Amino acid sequence: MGCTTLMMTLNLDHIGQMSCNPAIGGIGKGHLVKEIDALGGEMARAIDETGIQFRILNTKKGPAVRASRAQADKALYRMRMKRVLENCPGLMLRQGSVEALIVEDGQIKGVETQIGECFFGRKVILTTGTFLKGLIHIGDRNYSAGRAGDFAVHGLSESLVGLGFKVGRLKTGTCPRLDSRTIDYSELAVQDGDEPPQPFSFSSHGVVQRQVPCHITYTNSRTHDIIRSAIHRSPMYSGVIKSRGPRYCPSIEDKIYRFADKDRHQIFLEPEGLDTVEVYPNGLSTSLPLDVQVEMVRSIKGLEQAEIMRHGYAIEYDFFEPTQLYSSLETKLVKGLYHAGQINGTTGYEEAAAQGIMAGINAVLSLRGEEALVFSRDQAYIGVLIDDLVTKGTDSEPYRMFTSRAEYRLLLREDNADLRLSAIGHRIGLAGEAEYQRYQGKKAAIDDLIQYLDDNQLNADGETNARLESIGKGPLHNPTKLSQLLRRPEISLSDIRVIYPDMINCSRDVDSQVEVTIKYQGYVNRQNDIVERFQKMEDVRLPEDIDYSQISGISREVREKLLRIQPRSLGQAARISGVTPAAITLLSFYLKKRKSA
Amino acid sequence: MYQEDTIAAIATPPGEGGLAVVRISGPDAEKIARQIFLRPNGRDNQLRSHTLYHGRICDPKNLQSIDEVLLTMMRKPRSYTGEDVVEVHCHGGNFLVRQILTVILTQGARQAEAGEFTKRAFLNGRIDLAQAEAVLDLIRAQTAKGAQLALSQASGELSKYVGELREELLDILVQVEAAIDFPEEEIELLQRHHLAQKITALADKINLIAASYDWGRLFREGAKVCICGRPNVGKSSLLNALLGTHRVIVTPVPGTTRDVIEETLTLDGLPVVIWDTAGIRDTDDQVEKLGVELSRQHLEKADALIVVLDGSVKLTADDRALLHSAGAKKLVMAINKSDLPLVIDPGLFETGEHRRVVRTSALSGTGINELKKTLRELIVGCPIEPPVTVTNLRHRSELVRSADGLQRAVDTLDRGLPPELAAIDLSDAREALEEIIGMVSNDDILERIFSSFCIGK
Ligand SMILES: Nc1nc2c(ncn2[C@@H]2O[C@H](COP(=O)(O)OP(=O)(O)OP(=O)(O)O)[C@@H](O)[C@H]2O)c(=O)[nH]1
Ligand SMILES: [Mg+2]
Repeated sequence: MGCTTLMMTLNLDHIGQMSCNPAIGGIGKGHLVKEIDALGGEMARAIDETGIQFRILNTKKGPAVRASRAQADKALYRMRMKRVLENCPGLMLRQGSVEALIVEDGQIKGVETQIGECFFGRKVILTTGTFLKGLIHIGDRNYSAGRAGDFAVHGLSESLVGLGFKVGRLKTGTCPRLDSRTIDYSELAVQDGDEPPQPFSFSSHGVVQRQVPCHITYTNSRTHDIIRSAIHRSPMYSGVIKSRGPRYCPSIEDKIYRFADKDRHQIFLEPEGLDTVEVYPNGLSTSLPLDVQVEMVRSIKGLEQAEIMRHGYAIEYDFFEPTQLYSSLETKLVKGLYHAGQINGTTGYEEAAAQGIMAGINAVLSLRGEEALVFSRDQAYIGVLIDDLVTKGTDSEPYRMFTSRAEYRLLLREDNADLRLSAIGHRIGLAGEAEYQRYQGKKAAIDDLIQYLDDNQLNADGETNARLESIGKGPLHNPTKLSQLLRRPEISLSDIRVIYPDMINCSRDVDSQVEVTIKYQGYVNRQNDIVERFQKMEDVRLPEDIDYSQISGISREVREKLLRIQPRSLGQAARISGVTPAAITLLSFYLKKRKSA
Repeated sequence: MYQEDTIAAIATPPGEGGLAVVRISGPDAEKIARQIFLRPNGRDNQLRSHTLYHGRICDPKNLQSIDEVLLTMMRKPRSYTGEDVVEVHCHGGNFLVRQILTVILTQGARQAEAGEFTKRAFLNGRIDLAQAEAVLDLIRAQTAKGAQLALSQASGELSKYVGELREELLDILVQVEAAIDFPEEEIELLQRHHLAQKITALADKINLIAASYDWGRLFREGAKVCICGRPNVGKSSLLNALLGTHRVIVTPVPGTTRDVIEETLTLDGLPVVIWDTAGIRDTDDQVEKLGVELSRQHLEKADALIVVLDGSVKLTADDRALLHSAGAKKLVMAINKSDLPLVIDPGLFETGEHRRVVRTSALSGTGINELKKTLRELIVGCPIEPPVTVTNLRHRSELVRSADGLQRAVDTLDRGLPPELAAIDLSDAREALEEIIGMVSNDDILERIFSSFCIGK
């Protein structure tokens, strides 16, 4: 967006390093990646160029919850990301560890590194990952590290606490990595990628890397016995780690205790790249001591001889309650300072990237004197993510995106992320001209096709019905508009192309948009109605100078919450946990009175 | 809206009673209590929360003792209103209680407005919306049964039950959502038709309590009953017999009653508004004509009819016409004048859930109790007793909305549409339930997914 920017990182070789599973996307996460892409971000293009297995998940379900996932060649992905940064005009790269913030009168001025070097700037964005006071645990051993192979950062946490920020601690973990040459794949189920692989980016030229399969194996009762008999040596169970880990990505020892009745758990063996023998046994996250890890791994089918190349571990790190942020991701305490990613208590590359791009955009918009870009919950998963963070906080467990977090899921699909956001990405100067042209072309094609389907109809004659029968569909009894026919659940646009060969040709993208628009119109309309109601509350802005102590009848707890969160709108206020509907009624009365006064 | 001042009011109904309660709520409740309350032997009157103290209420101006009382203080937030609350249990008797209240008011409390304690309880989050509404119903209830129904709601029975229904709905949603968000997990999920079955069963439950509204309404507002029949069959006599008084003029002249006479009576707790009407027949008399017209109007409005037949003469064309015009309305045929030799055979009439026959004699009083009993059964008649009763129109319409949402979800599933569309329908249904108890949605679903399924590769 044209600003001179410094990027400070602990290790220039580790830019774009995937500390955990080398995969991008997944349900809810794929949605974020597409949104980032529509805005002009890099993630989708990077994975398209470096992905070695692409799959669309939830294909048997509806379009709203279909999601892309791809595995990356870890090394290629990293190098690709670094190359982009190096070629980015106006961007300086520096290696160093930021240990303190320079703040004057509540305004950020710059940062200071561990060797006393100072950098000054009008905006600072912190994306600290798991590095703040990172502490790796394995068995009863622990050591300071930002992730395996990287140093932790200590001073920065202190600096933030000194500024008045509330700090918290979270835990996450990762799997051991196995040597592919020691795995016996012969009896394991193969999981191939989709053929052809579908790229992520709306402006992609397709997938370029050779595609490779994954394999599936399972834990068994012996694995579980090994874990049970060694559980007292797990830092989680011995009480060494007190912070709670994510429930949706539990360690294998967690799974065995929480779901004692399950006699096996699925493990996906995922290659970490094309030019490496390292394999990521997805599902086997653990912080048990190394000898137990070895024994446990070798109890699993196909892994009897497996060699662990890197051990699994748990890591604890500092994060800062995201309710200390505005929706722009700027901190309430320090003007010009933004937080993005795991520092806000989220987990996942996609969640981090979504916040990163928004913090960057908003820092620039603020420099330009423009209003912050804040997506509403019916506009983007990014909007849902940030609204959840700044309104509800992370509540002792890392926050991950799921489609069920989005109330207006049917409107927020992967396939329409460009239609939702491209114009905005272009307006702020992030998405390129070519992407914008492509988006406009797509929009026009969609409108044309919808019009076409409304304008043309099929006669219920022998020829039509014969064609219908040839693809196993029931006959027509009356002349039917093409759009009407498409509303039948079992009929797709490609079916219609068979029955009505004259139809105009469109790209797959356009077809699927049109299909969704027409097929699910009733539901889409209903969601739109709900959105309208929701927007009424969102549109009631809460002035910044609102004095909550003037509103009689609001309990002290509610008042304190409102003061702390400083919601932008009545709608956001209502989403704060513990703010009762009664309090919202009082607040809305107060606003009306104030307005008329 | 309320000011944060201290309010007081007599909490028990007016009139003579063994005991009465005066309630004070607000920031000064404790201060006021300590000024007017003296414990025996001059013990200090530090008040512990939720403890019952014995002592006297005195006028602090002249230290004159007003009454011997029990007093308890409930410190916020553990009180009815969520504020500091003091309750004075004193002897009943209008004068005494008023005197105590006056002393309290002179100490700086303000007389509470109707429903103000409840309003505060609601605003402070002590009770939910459904409970608050029920308390207001309670205040307005006209009969003992109506009050009982409202009371059970105020104490949260409806909220509790709706809460249970919501739980059931969440369980269903969890199944759907888990399948959507975690398809790679080995989660055993319900088959479509099983899911549809579960949803339908839930919709049935919701429909049942939604239907109970009509039932509850009868108890709150009273049922409307119209006594109708040819002239001179004994309608007015029957009304007198039902009331046990000589309310209406009775003469052997047909066409005695010209206007509609309205009376109320209670049938085992069920309040009934009962109308005695002019005899229905073809007539040229202008005045009588108007009366007949009025009779017909009331017949239409009534929840149930008592069609009076003169059992001592043959059924006439007018009788038949009237029975016919009643259509499917609930009615009891009272074959009156049963003290005389019966000409009409009660067995001739088709009876059923909505039509009953009773033999009465307004003159001797036989069959009157039977008539009352039959009438009540006919009106209240409810095949399955609902587990809770809905007495508020808003609650009923939300329940109907919820059941509709569930029905749509079943349709969506039946049509083979994707599960996230069914989730939209289910969410509508859930929102409707949550609006009854005035609850804002939260992350309950994800919470449940994690506690019931093993998620995470
Ligand atoms: N023997 C006998 N006579 C009755 C009985 N009920 C009413 N009667 C007499 O029937 C006559 C008419 O009674 P009402 O009660 O005025 O009849 P009604 O149906 O109100 O008549 P209208 O108001 O004129 O339509 C009176 O003389 C009553 O005494 C009964 O049960 N047995
Ligand atoms: Mg009469």
